Amino acid sequence: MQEEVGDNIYFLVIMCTGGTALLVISFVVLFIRNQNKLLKHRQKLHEAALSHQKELLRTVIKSQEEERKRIGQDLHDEVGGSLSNLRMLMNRFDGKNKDVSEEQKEAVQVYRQLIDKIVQDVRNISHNLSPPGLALFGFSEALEELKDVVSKGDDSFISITNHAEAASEKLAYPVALALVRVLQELITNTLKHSGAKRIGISLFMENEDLLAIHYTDDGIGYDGKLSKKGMGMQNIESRLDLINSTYTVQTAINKGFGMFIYVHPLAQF
Amino acid sequence: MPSFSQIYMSIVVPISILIPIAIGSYRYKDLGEAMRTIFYYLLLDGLVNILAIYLFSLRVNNLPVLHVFTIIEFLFISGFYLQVIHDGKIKKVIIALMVIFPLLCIANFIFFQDINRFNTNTRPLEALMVMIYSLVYFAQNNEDGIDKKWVANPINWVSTGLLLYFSGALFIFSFSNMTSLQKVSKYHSLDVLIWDIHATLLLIMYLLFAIGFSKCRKK
Repeated sequence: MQEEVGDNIYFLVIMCTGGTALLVISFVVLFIRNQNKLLKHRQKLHEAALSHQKELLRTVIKSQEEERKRIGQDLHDEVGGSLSNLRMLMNRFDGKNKDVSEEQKEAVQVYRQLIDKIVQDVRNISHNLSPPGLALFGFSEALEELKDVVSKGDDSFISITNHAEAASEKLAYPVALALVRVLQELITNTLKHSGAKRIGISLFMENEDLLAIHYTDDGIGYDGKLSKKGMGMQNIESRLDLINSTYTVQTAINKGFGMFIYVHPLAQF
Repeated sequence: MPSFSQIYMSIVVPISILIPIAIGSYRYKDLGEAMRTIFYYLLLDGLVNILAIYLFSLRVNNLPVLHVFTIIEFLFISGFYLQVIHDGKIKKVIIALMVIFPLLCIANFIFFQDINRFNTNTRPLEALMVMIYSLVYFAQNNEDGIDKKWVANPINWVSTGLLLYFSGALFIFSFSNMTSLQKVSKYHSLDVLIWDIHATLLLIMYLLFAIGFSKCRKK
């Protein structure tokens, strides 16, 4: 009888300890599964919020671009047209008209120059608002246009080298537009803050499937760790985020500014 | 020739404490306050192991060490949970227990249980309290919401180790006098079985601590 009870005790001890361990382990496993589920749910919510934000940003930028295009076109067609008419009217007061005194002729000459300047300014502003070359002739042409507007005849100020012509022409319009805007913003920053004498923009292929754009200037740079991001830089970031491109900034005080932008040529906006 | 069980219990498992200690010292800089408490607890555990083995080799009863160790162990584990549990009321309870339990232990070996026997009154009580700590921690963890994966949090591993060891060993602590003080051979083999199970639980706890230490990384 005692022998039988002894055998049972081993069994009981193992069962009791095993059972307790089983309880604890299943508790922990269930707990982990539950937490992972919660975590996943939360991540999903977070992702949804992020993508919603991105969608909002995309809409804002899209409507901003449309508005710019409209204003640019109106400016070019309406104001530009009226100014051209005015310029034509001015021609009535040229040298052949005997009713006009010398004094008036001189004044007309000044007005004409002024009108020419305004026409040029309107043209620049409207091109800046909506780069016409981009839709018609592609990214490289838009870059050239940008160069013309900024350099104002001084060709050595901006140098553009494009070793990725084929890929840069394949860019979807909104992506190309975003890149043009980013470069515009970078150039504005350089002109405003850096005191640079030269800007370099080069395009090349990285790993055969990534279009890389390298922007540099030889200005005063800034301390990348300390500086607060301004509106311009934030604009650049959000535009680049929207076209899923990655970028790195290299700058230090008195070391100029450099930025690498990588974008997939077939990326969509 | 020592049996497998003897080698396992008196060499393999005590030496295995070096695994979490090694990982803990390697990551010492990255350990938070709470994990450092566990690290010191392991060092103390290692020292007590050595002392117990030394006394055993001198044929001196080493059970008084267990009575003192129970108190210090409880203080360390309470200290650990004091740092990972945020609720103010629960913290106060833990602090109260850190005062009451040692007094109970001392009263136990002075008035109730022989210091040369297992402290079967207080050690199961300690186990129960540690289990409650651990469950409270998990409950709090569930309430707080989580910002990282369960497995990435070292405290979870330590808490699981403590819960598994103390709940598994609850029976062992409770029946240790009944089995070890019997002179009948049948009980002796039961005793060996029980302490083998205890050693295995301890080994699992050490390994879980080791995983916990390995998860400590500076952000």
